[in-house]
Amino acid sequence: MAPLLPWRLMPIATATNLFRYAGEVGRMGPFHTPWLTFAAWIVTGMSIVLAVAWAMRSDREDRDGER
Amino acid sequence: MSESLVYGLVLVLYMGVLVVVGVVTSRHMRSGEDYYLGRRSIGPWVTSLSYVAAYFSSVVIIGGGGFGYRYGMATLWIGAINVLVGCTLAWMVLGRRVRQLTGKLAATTVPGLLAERYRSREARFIAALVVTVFLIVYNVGILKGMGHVFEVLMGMPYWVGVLLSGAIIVVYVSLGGYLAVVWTGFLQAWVMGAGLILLTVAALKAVGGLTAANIALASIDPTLVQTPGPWGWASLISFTFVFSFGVWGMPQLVIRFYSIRSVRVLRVGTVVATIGGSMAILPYLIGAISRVLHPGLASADLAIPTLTKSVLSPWGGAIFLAGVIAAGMSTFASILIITSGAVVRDIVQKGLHRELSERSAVRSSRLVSLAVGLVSLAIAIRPPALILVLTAFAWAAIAATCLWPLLFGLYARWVTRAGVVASMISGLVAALVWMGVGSPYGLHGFIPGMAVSLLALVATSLATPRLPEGHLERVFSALHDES
Repeated sequence: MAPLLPWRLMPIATATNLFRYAGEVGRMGPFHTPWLTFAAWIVTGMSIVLAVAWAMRSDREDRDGER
Repeated sequence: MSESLVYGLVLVLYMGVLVVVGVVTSRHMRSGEDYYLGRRSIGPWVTSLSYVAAYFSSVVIIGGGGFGYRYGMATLWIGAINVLVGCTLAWMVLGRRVRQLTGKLAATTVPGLLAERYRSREARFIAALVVTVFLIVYNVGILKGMGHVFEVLMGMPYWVGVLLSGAIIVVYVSLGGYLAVVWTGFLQAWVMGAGLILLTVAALKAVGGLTAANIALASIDPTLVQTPGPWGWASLISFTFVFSFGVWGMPQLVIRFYSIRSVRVLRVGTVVATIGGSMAILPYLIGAISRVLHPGLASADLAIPTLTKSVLSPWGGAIFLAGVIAAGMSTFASILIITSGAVVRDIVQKGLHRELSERSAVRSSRLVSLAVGLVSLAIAIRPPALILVLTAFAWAAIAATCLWPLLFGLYARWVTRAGVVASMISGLVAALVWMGVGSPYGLHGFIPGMAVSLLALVATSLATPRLPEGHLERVFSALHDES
């Protein structure tokens, strides 16, 4: 049987459903916050991780270049 | 000790320190470049924390709190994207290239960088004019925030608060120039952070924790804890975009990259700016909590000052007040430096070809800082609109004019002189017209302004002759230097 959606569209469909699911008020994340609202805290934390990772990588590249 | 006396003591002490910094730094200033950039010798901690202080002015603390109060927890997204796009990505994408290019082209202002990069006097003139006019509008928003804080916390008339805070800033900027701005910004970032953390902890304690705050907020209106909430997607996304991506075209922030000691120290600066910037999420949270504790306020901009008065002791309130004033002052001070550079360096010296000695350039810059400060004060006494609305208006106009030319100037060889001028004019006009007709569909003027500006830049550049290859070689060879 052919799939309902072409496989290339599956990730988009999954992401859309996840987005809808996270936005519903009944789907609560930590602290009685809907997941889509709580994700703002996650993005803030991930920004710090990204900055540290970039700085370390950039430092390593410079040191490799000097050798 | 009476409440007013506590506030008064803390403020007098704090403002005294700022004036001392202005006096001390004025002794290190000999040339125009010293006044605008502090000799390009500033370290990563001072640069990054003064960046954070200039970014998150009283507009974000008081105005952001007002948005949290009115639209609920969805506004946390503005703070989160501020950190990711306005701090982390801005430092990663712009930092190194702006430092290298401005060093090579000896540019001291954003209009100057655009003029040297594209060999365009028109770009210099348009950017200088837009920056001067719309940063004054932004200044009015900042002063309004500070006036409200004085009004609620100290019981002073609004206009006295505006005059008091504005006058102190004008004094230390006129004296110490950019060095005073970054050093006071560095101190102010710490005071601001301490004030915000103090108020957040006290507010959460008063409401019974984050879970209790969310439940109480949902009982007022369930959409207040949802995303996009009562504001809707179009407004939430466009405002988030203005205050995050818009930063990339804001001269008072981009200038921080000009003056950093070297490109190597940018790494530390990126991490410090991101960690410092992460407190941007707090005003929105506190504003939403204020809705639970103080429903029915006359103006949303009073959310944070009212909450401060109810949950903090007089000493705590005084520290928070100093933090808000710190935030406002650091941004206001940065704007005075930028506008004086735009007027003296770009319009008078380069645009009108007036010869000025270094000494008279510094003196003229001080006078322009003073004049811009006084004009902003005069308008702020009877200001129009909400703080964040005023700010978003100014940011949209400046970003729609300067952002793409600046960003493409760092990465793309194919952009032409005509493309840049077309992009600046069309972006500005589109943003102003869109906001002038009342921002249809809840979409902020920044979005159409940016879209039109990008389209004009690409289309015109493809249809007009490129800059000479020798010039492009000189510009882009600078981007590989490690100094």
